[in-house]
Amino acid sequence: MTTARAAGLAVCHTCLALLGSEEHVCHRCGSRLHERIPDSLQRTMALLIAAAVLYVPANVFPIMTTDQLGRTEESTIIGGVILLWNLGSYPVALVILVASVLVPIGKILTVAALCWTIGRNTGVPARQRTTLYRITEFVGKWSMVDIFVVSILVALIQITGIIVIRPGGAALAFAAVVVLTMVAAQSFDPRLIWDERRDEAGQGGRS
Amino acid sequence: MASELIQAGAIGCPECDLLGEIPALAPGERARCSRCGFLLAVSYEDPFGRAFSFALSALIMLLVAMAFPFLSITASGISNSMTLLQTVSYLADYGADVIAFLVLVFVILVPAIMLLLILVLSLSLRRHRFHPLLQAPTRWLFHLNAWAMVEVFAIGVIVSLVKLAAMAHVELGLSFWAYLAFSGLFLLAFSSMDRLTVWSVIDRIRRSGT
Ligand SMILES: [Zn+2]
Ligand SMILES: [Zn+2]
Repeated sequence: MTTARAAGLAVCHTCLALLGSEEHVCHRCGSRLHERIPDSLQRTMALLIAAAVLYVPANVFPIMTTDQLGRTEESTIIGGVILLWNLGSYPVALVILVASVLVPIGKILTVAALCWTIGRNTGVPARQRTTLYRITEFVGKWSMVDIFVVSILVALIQITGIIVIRPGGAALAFAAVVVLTMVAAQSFDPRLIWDERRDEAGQGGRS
Repeated sequence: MASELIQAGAIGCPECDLLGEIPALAPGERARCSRCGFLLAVSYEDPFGRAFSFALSALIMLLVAMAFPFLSITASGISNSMTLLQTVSYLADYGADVIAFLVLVFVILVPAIMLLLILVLSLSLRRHRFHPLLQAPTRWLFHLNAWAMVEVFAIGVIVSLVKLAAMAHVELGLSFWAYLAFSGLFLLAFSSMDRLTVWSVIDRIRRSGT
């Protein structure tokens, strides 16, 4: 088994063409060509830290405010989950809990852990780490569900003219968390997981 | 014809960098990286005809979804309905411009742009033509997919209905069903545009042109 890098080649991430690693632009699709994503780990970690910091206001501030008969009620992400649970809507409470709490936190921790394992001999098989990476990439967009729920509620309730629901400050922070974690997962270069394995095999490699 | 769409030959895996050979694929077959399992290519019988019909139907469904009432609500005797675009405009009215913009982009704009790209590209490749100006948009098509959230929005609507069930009577409009159909057709249209097939065919068109 030989890698493209060992053969002096680079794989285009858009069209999968094989090109010389000294090329800068793909002949076939015109993508900028990188043998590895430049500064992948630093960029990924920086985006993850930004996401983790923003996750605090996303949970502390209300994601929406309800004005009804002169009474103002604020609800946070967790507050919404608890309310749904108490109303007996268990499946929906779980959907929001998974999409808004477990997925963002799990994603930040998983991608950070993947970054941490690069260059360290952790004994976790590369194939398993690749699977973890693919799961985080796949579930990323599902966190937007709560943002969409808020936007639908805001619009739908307005047309009744009795109750007013306004989007809260947490909505913006939470949307930013989702976008940042998605960009972070995209900046992570999964080839790094396999590079180190090749190094362990003693074939050496440039970096 | 379908088996020659993807040329057999050397290929690199974009996720683990392994070099390998891609075999000639019969329709319905897929090729995966032998080391990391990355899905390298899926072969379809007449992929561009398939992509075109799914994309056209999806676009029609999206237009229907935007034209008719999406949800109707009855609370305290007052009944009213809203359209898909109103979800965005009400957010903007309450100062959540950025959120409104993100919803518009992820739920309508990105999927619509992708569908138009698929329509133009599949029609052109099927007729064995490729204008150089199409190169950049073809590239975007494969990167935009990460930001299309049609199926997530569909789940969001269902969650909203459950949340509202306690305080009001909500009815699903024609547009809601159109949007569900749109999200399914959209996924089918994009998955028909296998990237290795697309770029191999573009390669071949270019070579036969010179
Ligand atoms: Zn390329
Ligand atoms: Zn691979």
